[in-house]
Amino acid sequence: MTLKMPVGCTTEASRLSFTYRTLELLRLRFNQEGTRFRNGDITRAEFDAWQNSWYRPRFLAAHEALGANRTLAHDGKTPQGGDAPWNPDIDTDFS
Amino acid sequence: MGIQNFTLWVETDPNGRLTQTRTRSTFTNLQGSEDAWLTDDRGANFFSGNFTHDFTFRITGFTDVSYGAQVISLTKVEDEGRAIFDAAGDALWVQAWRTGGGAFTLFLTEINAGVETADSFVYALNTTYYCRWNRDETIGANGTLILEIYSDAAKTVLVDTLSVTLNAKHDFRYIMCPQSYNIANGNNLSGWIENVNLNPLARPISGVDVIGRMVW
Repeated sequence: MTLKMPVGCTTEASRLSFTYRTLELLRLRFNQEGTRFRNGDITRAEFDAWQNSWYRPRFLAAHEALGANRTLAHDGKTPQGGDAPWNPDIDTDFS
Repeated sequence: MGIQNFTLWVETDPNGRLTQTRTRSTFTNLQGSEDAWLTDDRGANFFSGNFTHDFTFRITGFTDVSYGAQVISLTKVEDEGRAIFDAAGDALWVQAWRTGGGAFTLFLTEINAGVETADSFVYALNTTYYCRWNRDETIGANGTLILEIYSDAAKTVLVDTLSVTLNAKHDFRYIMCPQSYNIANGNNLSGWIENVNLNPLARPISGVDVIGRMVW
């Protein structure tokens, strides 16, 4: 499975934005299913089966797209000053 | 392999920062200026190919900024984190850090021949995180390392996911929980890691695992 980019996503920045939004929507959908499990609407087996058949292939495809589309997103704010894709410091990155 | 029994792991702890129960490894006032780790030597190239490990951690204190330590680390040599980095070594780790600006930042990191690639998450002190990290070598030329971070033990509330596109395929021998990061910073941090499960997706077993280690 691969993540299909919209026609308008022609730059790495736009593809990265689309991918991060996709990952956030997948996270929210995961948590909706998690809520259904906690509320007793589905069983653990059903929750796990949904993860394996629906969620996880999309999750992995989104991370593959993320890796392929963040070659420009480097800021060096890691402990060793290495390569990290946009690691905002919410304490200092506002002015 | 199941949940690891930390009382069978080996301490390097000259300053008495580490304590263990069967399932929890605690570090207290672990300084950024010392060598300390709790390790299990699994044998050369034990961690190869795809893997999935579960673990739970909590950071309970930091005295200052610009330092941290690894809560879990896979390495080829037994050493502290900065030494591996400086020696152009290789490792995969999850590092609890505090940035110069004060943010409590969790890094999912690949060290490949001394070159670091990482993804990050802002965590909170005194908050327990339930994690699953896995390496999938079918994603990307050299595989992808992914960390899933949940807020509940049942892993039904997903807080964030981090990923690193790996730059090389490495096999690792040692697992460490925790592992210090010695950068001559005298400040310290405290916390714990527990319920490290090296094969969480397998059918639960009890008694003795495949290499004779007691599990529960």
